[in-house]
Amino acid sequence: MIPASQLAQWVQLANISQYLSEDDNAKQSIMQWGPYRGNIRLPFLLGFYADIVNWASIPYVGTEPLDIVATYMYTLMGKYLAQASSILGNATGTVIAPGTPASGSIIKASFDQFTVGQAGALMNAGDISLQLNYPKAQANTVTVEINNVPLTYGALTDQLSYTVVYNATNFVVTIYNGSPNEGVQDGWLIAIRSLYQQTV
Amino acid sequence: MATYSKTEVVVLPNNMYQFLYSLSQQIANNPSVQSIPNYEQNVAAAYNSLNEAKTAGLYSDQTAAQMAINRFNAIQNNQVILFQ
Repeated sequence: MIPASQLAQWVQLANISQYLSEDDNAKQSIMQWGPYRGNIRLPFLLGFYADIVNWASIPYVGTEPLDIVATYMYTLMGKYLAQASSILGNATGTVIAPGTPASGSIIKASFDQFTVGQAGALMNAGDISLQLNYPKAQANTVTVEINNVPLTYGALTDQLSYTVVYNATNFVVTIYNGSPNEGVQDGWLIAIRSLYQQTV
Repeated sequence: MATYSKTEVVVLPNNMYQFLYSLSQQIANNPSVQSIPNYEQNVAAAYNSLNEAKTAGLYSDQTAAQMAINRFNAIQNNQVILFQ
């Protein structure tokens, strides 16, 4: 017989799996450029069974019919079970802050975001490079996004890309936009992230 | 229009759940019933009526609750046709 505590956990897993399968369907319909019919019933069945098992777990816990229904719900979760378990296990969330030593240096994260052409933007239309004054940035940690899409690293002429020069007191980002390089354009939302060392 | 007491707002969905629980057993025992034409749509319609009745009861919307309950009763009364 399946105990009430396990039923409660399965209901939570089924609810998460419902969202995961719905998300999967949405991704598939984007890829296939139209409605995806393969598993369209699964999200409904998962939500339906989660609700029914949740209700039945009070009056019918420990009875064979409920065990059969709950086990069937468990099999419906299938490939989503692993991810659902992971999400359920992390439900409370954890923030890990770096330790601060008495002396030496700590790693900090930088984040700069701006829209080219707007007041306060760090780059103007046509600009190619930008210097950010974060000391001792760690090599290979600077990333650039334009309109929330990560750029490819390298001095490429056939697509948008960027390179970074790391110096002791700053780093310089160069953005490549075609050949000749036309630089950044008005309206681009640019985000630059890095990890750097700060002496304490 | 009928007026429901708070007790009935709880009891009515409970009866709906009871019926849907029997349907869920039918599917779990024999998943191939889902291939009966419109079987799942009818389960979905019954389930939606339950949710509408619950929501309507929550907001004391007697008209909406009555409509949802009527629809659910019609499905339940025709279960021989709809689910077999």
